[in-house]
Amino acid sequence: MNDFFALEYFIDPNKRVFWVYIITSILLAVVYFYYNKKQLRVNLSSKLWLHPSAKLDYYYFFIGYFIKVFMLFPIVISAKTIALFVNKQLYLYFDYFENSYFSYEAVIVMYTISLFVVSDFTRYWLHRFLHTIPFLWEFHKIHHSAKVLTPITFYRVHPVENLLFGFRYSLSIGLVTGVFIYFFGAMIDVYAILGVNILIFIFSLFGSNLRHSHVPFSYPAFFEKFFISPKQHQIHHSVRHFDKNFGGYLAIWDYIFGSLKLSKDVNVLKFGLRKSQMNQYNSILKLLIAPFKNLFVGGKIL
Amino acid sequence: MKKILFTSLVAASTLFGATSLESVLKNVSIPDVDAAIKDAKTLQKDINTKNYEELVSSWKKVEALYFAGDINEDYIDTPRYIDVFHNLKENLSEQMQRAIDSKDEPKIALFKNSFKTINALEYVLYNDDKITKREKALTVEILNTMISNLEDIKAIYKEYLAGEKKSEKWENAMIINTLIASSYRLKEWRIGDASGNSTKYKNSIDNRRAEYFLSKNSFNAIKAILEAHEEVIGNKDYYNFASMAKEAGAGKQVKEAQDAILKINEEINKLENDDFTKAKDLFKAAKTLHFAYYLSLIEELSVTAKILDADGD
Repeated sequence: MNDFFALEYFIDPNKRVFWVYIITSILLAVVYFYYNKKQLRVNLSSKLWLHPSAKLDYYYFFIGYFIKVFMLFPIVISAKTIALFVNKQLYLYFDYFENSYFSYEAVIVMYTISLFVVSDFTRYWLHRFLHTIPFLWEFHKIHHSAKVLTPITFYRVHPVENLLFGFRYSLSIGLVTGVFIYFFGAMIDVYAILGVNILIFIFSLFGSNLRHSHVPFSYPAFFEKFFISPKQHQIHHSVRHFDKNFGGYLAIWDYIFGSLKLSKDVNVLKFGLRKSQMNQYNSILKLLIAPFKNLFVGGKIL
Repeated sequence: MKKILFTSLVAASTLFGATSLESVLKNVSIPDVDAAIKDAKTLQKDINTKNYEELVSSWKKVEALYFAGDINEDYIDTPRYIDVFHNLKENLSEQMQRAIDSKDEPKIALFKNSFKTINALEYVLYNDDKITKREKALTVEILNTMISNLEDIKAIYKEYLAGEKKSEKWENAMIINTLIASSYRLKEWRIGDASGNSTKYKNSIDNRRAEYFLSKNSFNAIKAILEAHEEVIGNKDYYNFASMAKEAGAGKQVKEAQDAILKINEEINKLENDDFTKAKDLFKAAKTLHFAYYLSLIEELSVTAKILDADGD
């Protein structure tokens, strides 16, 4: 039963809300407010943390957990299946390859970086498609319907979107792993901290939980062309900039594909959807059925 | 839902106190190197074809399960200082004939690394029916180098057992990679090239491509390699890779590999006199062994390279 308990998210280093990541985010916020008091009052206000939108996030977090565990995980094909399929196809097509060029340490570095970069790249594109393909946008609107942002807003995601991200994960990790197994056999590994890819761990430490918050923590403009700052993700959540900053950890994809918006260029952030749409997303049931209602009853499909 | 990062075959061996690699090094690798050193010394003292045959057999076992290059990268090329099969573009026979004909001291005549290998030794001993005084002197010198390299390999294994260990995951991955590479060379180089079944020599049969064509030790070498594989993947009294893999739930895959080894032995016993002209079934059996390692056993690796929440953003 312990395995199916949503609070495990806070003690699992693989999760965004792992307690260590939350503490480091709080520390970053403290440092931020030490120099900039502007948003301090808002962040300490119960109006933010107990806002109906925030409360909905908390409830949805638990419901969403069970939907994922019992309905989605069994459907999503595993990364291992993909990896072994890719490896087998490469083997059958190109014959056996014996690595004699790279040391074990070099392979670990390459594999660690490849997993991170490929995953971040596919994450960028799926996120972008969720915004640009009208059918998918209906599901992604759930996430953008959050009027206030808290770290738990990260989990305000429709199950259909979870499913897509699950497939994205399996395909990208499976592909990279399959290629590495082909070239390096069983001798592949990842540099990890607490079982998490070291790059993900480092990025998670540096304010990943501030992405969904009202702490407008930004990096110098030069760095924001390479790494997405919390403020840049908040910009993505503001109504006028839904089409900017799709990136996860890296900003290079936004930079390359023309969707980058730097923090210094945006001052006012207004979260949520248009006022007229908001009442479609104010309960758990509505969050779950709104996309279908809009697509099928609203006339987009029927 | 325990999140285990890219866990390889389960580390159940800790129950036994030693990992499969430690046990294999102790029970297989070091005794095999010792046997090869002993055979080399015996051949030095009593130079005859029977003793050469023994050395081929013991060396092939060491080569098939060569872990020293992974344990210490400085020794990655050591097997090539002992054996240049499939790794030499020059005509070794011509060069060795010149070394035999030369009047230089053996040490000077054998100036290249490839001249001090088991393949060079084969030419020295089998280029004609007689073993001359000069050939004996060259043999002693070649064997001195071989023994020195074998001693190095033994030292690496002993050092590893006495020193700091790498992770068991790494050890098991190295063993499976070694078995995969060895079974590929067995299939393609040692059987396929001569029998016309390899990718390179498809439908072109030529016994001269066999590993020990001159001494007719090619089947002997293949049998020795299979014995080495059997030592790590067979059912043994000591803890080996098979024991670990079975405990990790890969019993079916281990059985597949064991059956393939039996089949290769069966097929090779049907053939005579190092003749690969009818070795199609032998090749097929070797292919099955390679597949068993590569496509079946490697599938047991648990590939769960967690990234972080597949939840969106």
